Amino acid sequence: MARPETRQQLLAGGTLSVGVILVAALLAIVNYFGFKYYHRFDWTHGKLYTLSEKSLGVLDGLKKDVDVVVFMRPGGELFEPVRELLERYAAKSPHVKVRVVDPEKNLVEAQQLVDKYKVSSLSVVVFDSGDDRRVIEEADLADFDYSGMQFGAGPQMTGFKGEEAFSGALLELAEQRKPKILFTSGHGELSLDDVSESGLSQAQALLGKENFEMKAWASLGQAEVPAGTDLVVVAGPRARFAEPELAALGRYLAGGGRMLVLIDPTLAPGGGGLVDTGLGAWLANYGVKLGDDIVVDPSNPLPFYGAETIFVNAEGTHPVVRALEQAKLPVILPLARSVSRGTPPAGAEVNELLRTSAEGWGEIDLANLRAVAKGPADLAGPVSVAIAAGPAAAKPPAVAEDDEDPQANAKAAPAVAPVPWRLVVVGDADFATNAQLANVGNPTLLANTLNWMVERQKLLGIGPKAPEQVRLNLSASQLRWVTLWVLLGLPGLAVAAGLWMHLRRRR
Amino acid sequence: MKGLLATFFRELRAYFFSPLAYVVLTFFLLVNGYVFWFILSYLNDPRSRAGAPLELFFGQTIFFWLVLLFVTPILTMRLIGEERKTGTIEMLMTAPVTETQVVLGKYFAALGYYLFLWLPTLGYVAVVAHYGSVDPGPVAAGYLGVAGIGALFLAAGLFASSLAKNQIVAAIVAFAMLVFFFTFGLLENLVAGETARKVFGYLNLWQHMDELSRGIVDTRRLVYYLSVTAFFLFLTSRALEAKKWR
Repeated sequence: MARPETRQQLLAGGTLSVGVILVAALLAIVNYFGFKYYHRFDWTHGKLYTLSEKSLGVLDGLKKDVDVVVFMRPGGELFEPVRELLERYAAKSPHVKVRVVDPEKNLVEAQQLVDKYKVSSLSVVVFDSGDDRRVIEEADLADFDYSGMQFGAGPQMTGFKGEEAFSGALLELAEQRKPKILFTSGHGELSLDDVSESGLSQAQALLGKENFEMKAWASLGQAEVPAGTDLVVVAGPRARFAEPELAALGRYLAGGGRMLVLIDPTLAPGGGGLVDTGLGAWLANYGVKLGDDIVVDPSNPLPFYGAETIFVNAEGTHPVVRALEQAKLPVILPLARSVSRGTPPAGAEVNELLRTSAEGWGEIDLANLRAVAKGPADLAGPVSVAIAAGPAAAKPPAVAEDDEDPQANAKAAPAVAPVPWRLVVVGDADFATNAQLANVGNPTLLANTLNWMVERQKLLGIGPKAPEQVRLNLSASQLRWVTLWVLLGLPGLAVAAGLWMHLRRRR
Repeated sequence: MKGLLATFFRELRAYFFSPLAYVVLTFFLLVNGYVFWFILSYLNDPRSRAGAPLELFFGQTIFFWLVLLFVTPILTMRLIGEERKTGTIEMLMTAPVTETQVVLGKYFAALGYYLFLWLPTLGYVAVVAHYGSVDPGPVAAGYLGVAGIGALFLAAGLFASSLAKNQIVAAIVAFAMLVFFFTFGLLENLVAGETARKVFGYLNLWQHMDELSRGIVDTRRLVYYLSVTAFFLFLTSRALEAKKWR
């Protein structure tokens, strides 16, 4: 039988152990609920880490779960901003579930998800909701300044555009709506269902993965472009558009429509010129000049092809060609005509997207194509073969509106500002056909063009946010002063205080 | 409350009268001064990427963590262990104060001295403000993180001190515990499973400071620091109580 002291010790020990276990359980419970229900405050002056009222409106309207899968390497520059931003979405809405997949460490999982989402790059963010999804490429998440590279510095992120991209994707998923694209028919255009080399079946498959809904549309006899159309594509017409058709397309653009015109130089029967589709004069109204020529570029030849099959490089930093320009991917155009800057209407701007080399030209002697040679009347290179046009004010409504008066923008925000028209014209349709689509930059050009044209996230008007960065510019003497202050001054004061205290105690 | 205040002032006085406190302060300012100078020199180089100096200062370098891992055990190692070694613990335990008051009094004194150590670093903020610009929000959040993580580390150190009679042993035990706390969360970057990653991410102190230094204050971090601090203080008071009936 235990002695009374031992029994008392056992009792006290048992009580203590139970107490510790209960408090440990309480610790776990507090942390569980703390983890589950939390709030993130943004203490920055510019509210860099606060979701705009528009994004909050989108999250309020989100009634179904969205799995957000981040395929990114944790060391990448955009990883942290993306992760942090998605944390904010997850903190605001229980419907947003974020998962990070490191393509290097989670090979099997990454491969499974690549198969599931059919993504071609491992630097993407996928928004998945049931059978609907949106894929956002890393290149669409930030703007970079490369000017410091001449001094040996790396590219500098000047603007992070994650919020506009993510909120746009969530808005589309919440609305359960896919961008609707109509391909005109009735003028000898390329067909979506055609599986031959000259068909667009592969383009249809590619764009299907991007969640576009595509349909052929016989425009003849239609007074208007159907309501709810996000984009009209005219792909390789070989016959003339009637005036009422062009008028309907004009009204569609005026109402904020978007049009992609892929137009080949089709030789007219009997030779001597190109088929007049009626689009040349119509496009001139929007500042786009369609050349009656065939573009050749002997300095960019493709082996085994004639001089009229050319490859062209992206020009400038327009969103349509930015990715091509950064990756230095050319686009192969089997037979192209020039598309250059005309006289844009008031308030519009026109940007060249693709150009030949300086040695290229626009051959206008179409009756003698067997032995082309650059003549004085030909269009001198570099020749533009693709153009984007739209109102100059078509950029997202200023960033400031998010921050200056968030209350004024309020919850109704996602419905948004007037939609600006957009028009892209490429002097070739063949690059998108089954025979050519797989070549180098061709699929990127097609997908990026359509993504830019229907880009709903832009319509939200959430501007990019500049990361907090300070570029110090201390002179040598200033840096020396700072060095003395922080390495000698402050520690010296501590030593002095210690000596003073020591002497005081000795007295 | 009276007992708590008496213990608090007694311990705080002991800190400021101790030569070790000034050695720690000098070491602390030398290392942090070096880190700050290094950051400024780096950002002043035109080839480097632009960045916010104080954001980098708060938790973005390993030196920040080394200072915390070394300094906090030194601040707590003698708090209870010394009392036990010199036998004054018996007097304290028989005095009209509870174990909780003793523990809290000693803990807040250590916390007070720890925060005093950080006070001169406001000089770094003044330097950046003089030559550039300072957003006060992220700086305040950075100091909040310093206080939160320091509070947690000091509570763990105090507990270690209650376990060991020898100060050096207490410091080593505390150091080992803090290294565990610090590195445990870093496993977030090594594990593959989603749940494991979330759990380790919750405990990832580096990640916490990264966010706080940028001005993001997440209630999860505060819940974690406060609850674990309270748990260690509870354990310390129970450890003291256990000495009574052993």
